[in-house]
Amino acid sequence: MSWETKARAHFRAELDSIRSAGLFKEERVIRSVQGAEIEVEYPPGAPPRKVINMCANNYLGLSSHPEVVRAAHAGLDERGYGMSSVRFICGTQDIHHRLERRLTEFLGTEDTLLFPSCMDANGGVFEACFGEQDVLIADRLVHASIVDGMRLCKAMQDTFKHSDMAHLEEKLIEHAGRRFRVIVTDGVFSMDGDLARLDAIADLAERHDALVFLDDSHATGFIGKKGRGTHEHCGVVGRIDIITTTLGKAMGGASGGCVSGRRELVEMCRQRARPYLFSNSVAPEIVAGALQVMDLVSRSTERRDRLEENAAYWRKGLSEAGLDLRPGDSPIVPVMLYNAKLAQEFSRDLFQEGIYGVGFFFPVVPKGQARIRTQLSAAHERRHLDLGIAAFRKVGAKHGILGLKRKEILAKFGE
Amino acid sequence: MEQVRSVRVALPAGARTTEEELELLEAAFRAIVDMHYEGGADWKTAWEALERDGWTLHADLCWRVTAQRGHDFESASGRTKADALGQLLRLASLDATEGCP
Repeated sequence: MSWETKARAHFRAELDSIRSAGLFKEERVIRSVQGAEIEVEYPPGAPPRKVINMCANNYLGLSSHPEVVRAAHAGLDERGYGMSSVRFICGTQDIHHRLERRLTEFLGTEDTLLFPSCMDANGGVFEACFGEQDVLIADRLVHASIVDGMRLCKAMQDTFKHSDMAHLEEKLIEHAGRRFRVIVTDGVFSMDGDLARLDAIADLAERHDALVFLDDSHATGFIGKKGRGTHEHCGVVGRIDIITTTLGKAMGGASGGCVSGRRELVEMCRQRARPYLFSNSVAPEIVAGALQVMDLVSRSTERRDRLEENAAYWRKGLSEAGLDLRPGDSPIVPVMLYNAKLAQEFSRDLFQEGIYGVGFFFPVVPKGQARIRTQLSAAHERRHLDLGIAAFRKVGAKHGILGLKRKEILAKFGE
Repeated sequence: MEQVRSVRVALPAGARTTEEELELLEAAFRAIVDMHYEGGADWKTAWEALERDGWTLHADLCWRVTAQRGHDFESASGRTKADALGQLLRLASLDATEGCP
């Protein structure tokens, strides 16, 4: 088969079908550093426009923090640009070990191993640690990288209804004959911003002799009084067997992730996890920047406290404006619009008002659950939030949805 | 033209068979025919090659079920159709939505 005679036509048709289904993803080009205010070129070729960013994972506002940038520059000067190697050949520097020790201490675990990303950590950890005698029982709303990692593992794969502890217990009983039963969950779920019931999960795990896996990517650095994560918030530090998390969100936002937890499981990853064994070390400047982030988050909780205040203020403001929000305690605040077309139009109108927020709809979220997912940052100042709330109120009024709940919005716009 | 031979088995009067049993009978006969006439005996070469590479092998017949929905494809196997479908259901439940990044 040649590319020109058959393959090109096939892939063009595939792309056309994605476009006609309204699912084609387009990148909006940012011409500034990441932050509470960014300059966006949209549509392509238009002059860059300053907007308030309400959709970054920059929870602690550290993506462009001067101390982090300075530390990354120093790392670049002192340890170079890249390692040109995987970790176990000639890609491990002293700073990689230092960062792993800092993460272990911060997360309250026994050991930590860095990966190029948390996507890679989740892609490697299950296959490295579990086999066909075991079962992985995942919450149905876990991140896509966990689903991929589970599929790469020979263990039986099963799910429980989102945050439904009775269903989880049924599954633990159903799979009682398996060697290891592993409960798999996110800490903060990226779709709704709700928190896993980790205390109940840890209790169930103990009662049924199961292990607990936690992806805390949307929590590390700011959930819990000291920002250690969902396990701190739920009072179960030391009772979670495996934690994966990212440096690509609150913790500076560059890249890199890790597996942290029981010493032997981390060592299994060091020996067998393919994304660790077959991809490059995290670059020195990113490790240096992340070490500075560790200093900042360990030194003070001021940024996570401000984020918490911002999230509460934003939630209150939008609720009072009459928007329908998913309840929760995290800085992920989904504004529910239910109808996919409405979510897309709402996002476009917000952009015209100087607010950058992205509409999510099926298949990213279930049918009839379209929304604008807003995300707060410690970098947001009160004026950003006030402008954002005013814009949501104005666009909400334009579409006639203020004060309406799911039933009324669906009656007006359909699913 | 060579006459096609077939095997007919008379069932006792009043015997009840389920659709699944008939499907199983057909699959069993199909497997016997394939083993003799459709290159089915060639399995020994692959088996021995794997053993030479240090694999300990085991083979048995099973149910295989597949499911297609648009771009998504799932397949599973099991000793019974229920096992296979149960596994398929578990796999499909992993991807209820794409999820948010």
